Amino acid sequence: MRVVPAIDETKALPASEVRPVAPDRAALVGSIGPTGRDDVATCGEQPLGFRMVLSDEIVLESRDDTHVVIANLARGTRVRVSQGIYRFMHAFRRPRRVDEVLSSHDTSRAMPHVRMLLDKNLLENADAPPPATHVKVRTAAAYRFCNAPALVSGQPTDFVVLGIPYDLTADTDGRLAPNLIRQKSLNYPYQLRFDDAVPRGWFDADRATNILSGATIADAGDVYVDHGETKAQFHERVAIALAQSCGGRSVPLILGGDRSVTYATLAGLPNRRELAVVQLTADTTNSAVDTAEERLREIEHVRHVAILDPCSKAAGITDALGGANNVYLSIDLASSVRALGAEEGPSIQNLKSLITSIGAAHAIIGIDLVGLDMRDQAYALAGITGCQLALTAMSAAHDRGAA
Amino acid sequence: MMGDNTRHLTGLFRWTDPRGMAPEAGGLCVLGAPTDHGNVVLRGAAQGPAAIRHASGALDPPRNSGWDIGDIDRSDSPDPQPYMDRIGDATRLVRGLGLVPLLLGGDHSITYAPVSALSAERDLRVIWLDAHTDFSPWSEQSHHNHKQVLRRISTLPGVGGIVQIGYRGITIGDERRLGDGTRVVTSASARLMSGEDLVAIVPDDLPCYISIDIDVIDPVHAPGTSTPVPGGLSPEALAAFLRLLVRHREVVGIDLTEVNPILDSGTTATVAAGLVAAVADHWDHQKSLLIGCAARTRIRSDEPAPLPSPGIAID
Repeated sequence: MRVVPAIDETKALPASEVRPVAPDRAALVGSIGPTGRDDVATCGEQPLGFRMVLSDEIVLESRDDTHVVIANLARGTRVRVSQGIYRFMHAFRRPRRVDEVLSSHDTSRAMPHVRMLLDKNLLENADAPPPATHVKVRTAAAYRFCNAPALVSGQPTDFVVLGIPYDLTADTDGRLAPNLIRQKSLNYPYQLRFDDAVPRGWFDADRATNILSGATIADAGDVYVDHGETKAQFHERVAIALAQSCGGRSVPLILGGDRSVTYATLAGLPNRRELAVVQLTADTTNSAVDTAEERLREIEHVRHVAILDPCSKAAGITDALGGANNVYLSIDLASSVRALGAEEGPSIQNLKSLITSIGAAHAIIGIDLVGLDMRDQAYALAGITGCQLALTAMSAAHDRGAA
Repeated sequence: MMGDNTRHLTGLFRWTDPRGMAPEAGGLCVLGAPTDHGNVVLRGAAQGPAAIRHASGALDPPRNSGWDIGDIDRSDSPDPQPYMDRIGDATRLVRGLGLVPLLLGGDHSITYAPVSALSAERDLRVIWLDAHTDFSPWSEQSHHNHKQVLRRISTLPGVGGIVQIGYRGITIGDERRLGDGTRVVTSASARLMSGEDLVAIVPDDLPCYISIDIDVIDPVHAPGTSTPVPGGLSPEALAAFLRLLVRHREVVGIDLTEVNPILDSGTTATVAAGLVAAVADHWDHQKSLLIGCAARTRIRSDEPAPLPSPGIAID
């Protein structure tokens, strides 16, 4: 029997549900022939008692002589499987049990493959009652922030990057902003030290200091935005995405989206610790629903909201936050970049100092970059500035002890 | 060289072609290098020379006039090294006329060619004005791109030192120490220094080659470039430094790169033309410096600068 690698999970792209394959399972993987009745490794598992069917959400992304890459676009999962497994899956274009497709001998040997396909949501239980609401939560993004790895369930990281490309509250063309920021962030690649595989961080030449050494980062892709749905449905999806990706100690770095993304994120944070919100913005005329200060105050765990002009001095911030320990930092990119270019405006060093001052006095438990308008002539500069401010804010959250 | 494919461009500040003339030795001579094949981010810097020349038309002509020999042709899309060879030959052509090359890029990878040609003639120090150190490692020895051009230049035997001014932002590692003979002045430091302070850190033991990546300027003032980084110098501060540099240090060549007119509406090209004007305004000081510095500067070769080989296409 010729055994070829059938599943190559090292090739998995940004995915929310990909788990490492157990070594013994990988070793058992063989190529299933056209009928699925030969070349199957033995594992002794019992067949499943329900019918299975191909997920409606799968697409074939690529194909070569030996393998195909199949993705579930709703779940953000991708798997590279052998042509044999691909042909085997064709049997489930309509609901069938495994033992209706394979002999009893082959069925038990094929079960590891079948379970993997179910795990990845490429096959689904056709006999399960339909969910009350089918919520498509996240999608893969074209790039990952700083080329950090995709988030893997069960592997907590210090920071989780989540794009929320929602721009329907304000007159902001921001749905491509997460993609832009991620693309610009590739100039600041996330790397591990050769000796100990610890993240090496970066060097901030403006502050003459190393930052984020040892900080782990993962990218969870984008929250799926279903244009035409209600705002409540969108908020529900954001909350699920945050719960899936930012549980435990991870600090979310949210890439908006218009400024309403701040409200959606705060309302959906899984860990509802009391916190204060700092909005770094030069736009003091904002009155849109879901971005206004009053609306943020309605969120149960938000105790204070401070709107900080980019020209502000660090002194007095703590008083404005009512002594709160936990701070969620929202950075309005469009107005911050405009402020940088204004007569008597702040320098990038001033902005960085402001952010690090907040981090020195408070625990930053969440960060967002919002308001980047792709119609601005300086949108690319806003994307680059966003990367610099995001890394600075992450440093303010992570390097607090070192500072 | 001046074959049938010669195109007559309107020169920078309406300066004219020196060939066939009898130019006074030591004047500035513009060479355009319209290429962006070394820019890993965006196309568009190839339009820089034309945009800077166009923008110069709206400025007052500088106090000292110069020459403009035209663009080094890349319309036949040669590979990077053959084009570098052309730039090197054109640099030697300008030197053969007794003039000082002023290259308008083009992406920053072009700088390797004039520095290579000039440092073969005399030892020199490179003044690198840039938001980036351009010291990325290269994976293949034959690559010419704008991310590693200074690392490549640092290996030239005639480069006796490097002063990098303008490094800023967040980078993978600490790039303030690039090796022996190299001094890095971050933008944060440079912004706190006067022009005199900056000139003082440039030793006067070697002539200078000045290489300006327009992204050394803050993107608020010069947004038309492919890799802007917030926190740069003001055009006024850089112009003041350049004026002092040409008054107090011997300069054997200059380039100005990475102006990408696709990304703005002429602002950056105007800033670039203004920087060239600042240099040209004070260029007459170079004559006295030439006399003073000649005794101190080791001449690498007594041979005259080689003439360019026939067939070099200079429009």
